Amino acid sequence: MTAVMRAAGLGKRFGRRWALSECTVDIPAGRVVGLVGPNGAGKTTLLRLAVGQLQPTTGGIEVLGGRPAASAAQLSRVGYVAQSTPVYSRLTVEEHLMLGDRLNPRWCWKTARARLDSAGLDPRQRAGRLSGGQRAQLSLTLAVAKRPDLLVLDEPLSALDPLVRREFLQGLMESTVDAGVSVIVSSHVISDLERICDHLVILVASRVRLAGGIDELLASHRQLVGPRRDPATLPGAEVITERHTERQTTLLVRAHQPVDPAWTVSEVGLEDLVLAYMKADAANLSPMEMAR
Amino acid sequence: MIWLTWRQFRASASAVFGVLGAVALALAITGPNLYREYDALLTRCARTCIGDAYDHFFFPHVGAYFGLILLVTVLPVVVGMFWGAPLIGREFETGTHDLVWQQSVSRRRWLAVKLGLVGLATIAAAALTVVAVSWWSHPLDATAITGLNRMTPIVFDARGIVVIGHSAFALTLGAAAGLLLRRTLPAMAVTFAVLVAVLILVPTFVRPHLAAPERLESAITTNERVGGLDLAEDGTIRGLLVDLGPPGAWMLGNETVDATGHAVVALPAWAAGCAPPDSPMGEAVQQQCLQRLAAEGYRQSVTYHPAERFWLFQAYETVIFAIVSLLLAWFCFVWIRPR
Repeated sequence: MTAVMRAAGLGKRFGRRWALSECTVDIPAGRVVGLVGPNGAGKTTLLRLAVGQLQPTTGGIEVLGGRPAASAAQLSRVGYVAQSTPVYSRLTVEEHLMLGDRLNPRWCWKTARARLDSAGLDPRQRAGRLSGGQRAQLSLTLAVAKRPDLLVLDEPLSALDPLVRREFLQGLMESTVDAGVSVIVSSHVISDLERICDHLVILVASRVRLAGGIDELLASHRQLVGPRRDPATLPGAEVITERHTERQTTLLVRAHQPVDPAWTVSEVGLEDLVLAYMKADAANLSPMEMAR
Repeated sequence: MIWLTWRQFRASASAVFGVLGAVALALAITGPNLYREYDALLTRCARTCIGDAYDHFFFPHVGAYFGLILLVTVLPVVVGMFWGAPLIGREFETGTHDLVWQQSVSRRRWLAVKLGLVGLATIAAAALTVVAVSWWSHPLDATAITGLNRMTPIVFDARGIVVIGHSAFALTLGAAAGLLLRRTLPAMAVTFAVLVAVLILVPTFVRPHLAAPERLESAITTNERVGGLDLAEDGTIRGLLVDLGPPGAWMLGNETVDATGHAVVALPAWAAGCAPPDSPMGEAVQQQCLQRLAAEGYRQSVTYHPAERFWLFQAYETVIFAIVSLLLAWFCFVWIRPR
């Protein structure tokens, strides 16, 4: 499996504050990868390092086998939609497409026009008068029509209402699935990611807590409910979270082999899985690490 | 990239060139008349009647004359604030650096095209303004009072190639400020403050030293060129003020020295009689006083840059500003890389 993005010991400091430290991550190519994590985990910093908008303080990062934004050729292979979905407010929608055409060697008018039509954007409208959702659509159109090998989307959904959000994701899938583009998308909303992603990376405090195909992850995690007992004795499984009442113990485990039938076993949803890893990490962190 | 630069720049470019074009048109319309008036003046008094030229030609046009000087002086400030500061600063402010620097164009190429095109527009605007204003003002420059010759700082700054140097400096200064501060308004404020400081400090502290000043010493025996007394606050007379330098020179120093060649700290009290009299009757008294000063060895010493140094100084200063502009541009190319 080739990596679309590979970071080792990656760190970024702003002034005296580390936004990302000691981050090591491998993201496979040809996937739609969801990047999740609590606020301040370093998601945006990681993505900005990946597209070359930031320079790492420590460590290194490789995207599509090259240094991010090192050359025009490298830039042409990566499409990026920033969290604020910036556009030039004085330029019309059509002028944004002309910008894309003139600044990108692989620009595809057909893709651009088709996306504009399906998003219902008027080419003559000034971008400054678009709604948040329309701006996000325009930003995505620019990023997709340059026909990148990797599309990086940093919380493109945060400003959108649920209906627009669904249309946006649908448009995203239509434009990427056929072209075989790798996608990395960060989000808070796990149900959105579940709809489009086939691979998940959970980032907590700069560290990758969990990474893998969503199907495998769901298949290997189970919720166990049974009479209260010491979970350390559970063989062949890694306990992620445990919850105890006086009589009963509830565990979320990553099982490597069938578990003791004494437990009541149930499947875990993606949202519960993600939250379990975030919570586990918050509980395991030492006070010093928490302060950081 | 050229298309994008033009598309982003065209509004502020049309605003500046619109004003300059209107001014140039007005000058082209009124200029021929001014030149006719000037020719008539020359035939009337054959360059001898200074008072007539000032009263009947220069003075009636003095408003337009200083207005144009102001226009040329303000041009670099406008270029720096409205063309330079937003060039990179606005991209950061609106977040569009995340858009434009993610297209398949390296940041340095983006900057090269931006600075290149806006730089050319800057040079064109400065050249157009100086040529139009200098042509129109030429008859007035020729009849202006000695204190307003083209070597004096306010006129010097509004004539010749130095305006192009100032404008290029303003543009790169604004661009660098925007790149550092990442916001348009603070970058405009810093650009304004630095430009005003530089445009005041350079004529005061740098330009006088571009060459060694000429020095002239002479005993004053007639009252023809005595302009007044140099009085200290407590009333002591520090010396005479004499219009001694050659015509068109930029006067740097004008002091009275004693018989040993040292600058006078205070002239004797009787020197008060050397002041220009209120009535013609007092001229004899002044004449006597001057002769007594000369007899006691007092002389007048002036330092100045002669009029012939105008183009030399213009060239020096333009080169200095061009070098600083290139350094600022180089800084932008270095600092714009991802950090």
